[in-house]
Amino acid sequence: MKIFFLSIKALFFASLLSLFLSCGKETEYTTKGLKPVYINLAQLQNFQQIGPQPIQNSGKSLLYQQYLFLSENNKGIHIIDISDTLNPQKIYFLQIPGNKDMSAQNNLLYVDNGPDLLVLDISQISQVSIIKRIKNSFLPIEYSPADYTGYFECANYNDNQWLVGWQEAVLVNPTCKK
Amino acid sequence: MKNTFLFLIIALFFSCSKDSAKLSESNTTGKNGSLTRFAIKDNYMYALDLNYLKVFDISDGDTPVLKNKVLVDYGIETISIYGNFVYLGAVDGVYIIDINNPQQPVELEKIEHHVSCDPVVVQNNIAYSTQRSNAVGCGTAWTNSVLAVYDVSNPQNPNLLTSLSMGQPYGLAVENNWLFVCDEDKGGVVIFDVSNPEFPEEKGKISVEQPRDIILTYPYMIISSKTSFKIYNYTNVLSSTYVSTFQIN
Repeated sequence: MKIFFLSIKALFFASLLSLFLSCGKETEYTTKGLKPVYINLAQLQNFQQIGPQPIQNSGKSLLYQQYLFLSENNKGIHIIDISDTLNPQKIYFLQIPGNKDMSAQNNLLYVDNGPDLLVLDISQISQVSIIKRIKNSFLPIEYSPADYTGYFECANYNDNQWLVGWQEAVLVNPTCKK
Repeated sequence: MKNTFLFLIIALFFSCSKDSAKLSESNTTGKNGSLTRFAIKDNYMYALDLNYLKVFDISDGDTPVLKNKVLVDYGIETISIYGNFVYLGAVDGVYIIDINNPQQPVELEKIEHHVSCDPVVVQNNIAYSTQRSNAVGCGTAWTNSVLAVYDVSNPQNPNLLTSLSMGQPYGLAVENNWLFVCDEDKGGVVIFDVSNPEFPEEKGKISVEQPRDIILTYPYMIISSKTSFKIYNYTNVLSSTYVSTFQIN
């Protein structure tokens, strides 16, 4: 009889233990996936005009006078002089972290710079300058990696953290998936 | 004799200016591709902000002033202005917004479609919208990507004219009787004759890898792709000729 109770007890503990272990396993679920790359506010405001850069992830385009502006998603804008259509020249890159869109009128280029709206003076294309920054004009829109299926670390934006890309990572208990 | 000489000089001058391949848009407002989320009309910039359409007064260009923000919905992705109407491409439809009063946009209609990614362009009261559907962020793998054509002459009651199956369409552009659609699966820009918009006829293709968007600035077509851009001369649309791409720096 005692042995019976003991074995019941053992079974009970064993099942508890297995329950615990399986729970433990669940909380340590790891998988390969993507995690966000963030920059802080100072990095976000690091506007620079630099030399031509490789076009890697473009698509959006804007024609203003003889200049073709091509977006480089989250990084900035390529400036290409196409006044000679037979011989277009990539002339500058505007580094605008978190940039996605642009439009132009009267020698002014309007761009998003993370949450801010920037007005850039492009009357002298070799010296593009910020003439206005309107803070917190836009909410974030990128919450998942483009052209991707699988797990990823959920995006988290705050006052000093803006998402500018994704990188491969080992994820622990990822809750975001697409 | 003197007159003949002068005439020859003038003729030479004109033929030279015609032949030279210079390009310069004289407009003071830039021309965006169809994938844009910012658009300018007159003194106003319309910008998508997550689920809102924002109106900035840019008459004093240096200092844009936010005049209005209109709640639309989540999933709005592209903006296109035609006449006094704003067309928004969203993941589940096309929104038509009245901007007769530029500072007071009024949502008129939403054309519902299945979940997909979709820029829209408009000409002569006909709206052309590509709806890209795939497994990696736009809709699902089991719905078809399409080119949809709507009659929007009554913006409050748009009418689907036809819908054509596509591969993986992105940006598009329309001019006169020609519609140009970027299609990654088809490896280029597909050319449709839309002289009868109810029956777009596929007429040809310009090969470009991973095409994304198109800007037309007659006689040049600028096709941007994921990693480059190409310029074509489309004076003769069905035999559009390659002009150039950028110099590798």
